[in-house]
Amino acid sequence: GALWDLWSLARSVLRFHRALAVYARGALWELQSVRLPGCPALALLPLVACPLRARSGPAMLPARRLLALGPRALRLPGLRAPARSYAEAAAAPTQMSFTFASPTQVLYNGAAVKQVDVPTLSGSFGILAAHVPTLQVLKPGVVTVFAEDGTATKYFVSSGSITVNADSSVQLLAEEVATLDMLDLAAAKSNLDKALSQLAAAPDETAKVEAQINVEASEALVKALE
Amino acid sequence: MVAYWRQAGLSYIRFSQICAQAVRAAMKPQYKAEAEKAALSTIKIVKPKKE
Repeated sequence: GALWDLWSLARSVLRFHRALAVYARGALWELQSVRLPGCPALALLPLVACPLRARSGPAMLPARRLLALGPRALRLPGLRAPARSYAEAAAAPTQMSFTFASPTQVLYNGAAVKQVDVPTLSGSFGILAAHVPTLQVLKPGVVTVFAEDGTATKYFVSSGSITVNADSSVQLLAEEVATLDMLDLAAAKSNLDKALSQLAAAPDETAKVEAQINVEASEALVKALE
Repeated sequence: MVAYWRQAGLSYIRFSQICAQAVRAAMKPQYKAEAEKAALSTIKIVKPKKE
């Protein structure tokens, strides 16, 4: 009856308290092993909080005081926050391994060069060893390769792509490659004039844009050859 | 940031083709022939025969 219910309630309360005591014992163990900065007083807490309960062990904190310690103190064993550390230092710059090819020929294959200047759609830039990895698309322009001894070789590239990997390998794949002595300045100039007149006479948007591309490529050619 | 040809609906492949044509047109005659041949070899156009 009523007496039995009261007894079972008291038993469950007692069980709860015992469980809490075990929990608190574990938490205080954590607390003792953690040195909270600026809170030397907290380390003394276990000693202060239960001076009279020597018989029940070091960890019989009332629940409210336990919670007042704050989230940091109640670090459950086994649930450590990930340790924070600095990022690894960047690897020392290794040699650049340069591969430069077109559909018909391979100009460089894993060669060690000092620097490569490339014209891309997002601007012209020079690539040295340990360049930040990037993928770029080329526009008509001159690629300059600086060998280890400093000699520069120029190639005119129509379009293509360049890949710089994290291991300093660079792959330059070009649609059409021509050394500057394979190109004719007079032909380039006349082609530029032809392209400009085509641009002026273009019937629709697509033809106009195609003529514009032609104009820009011809301009790059003329600029490279002059 | 979008390229003008991309805005007009052209792909980079088409851009690349036009640029390559421009470069080949500006080559000296002795190199131009083999460049044109090499460029043509990447595409083979076969017209289906009507039966």
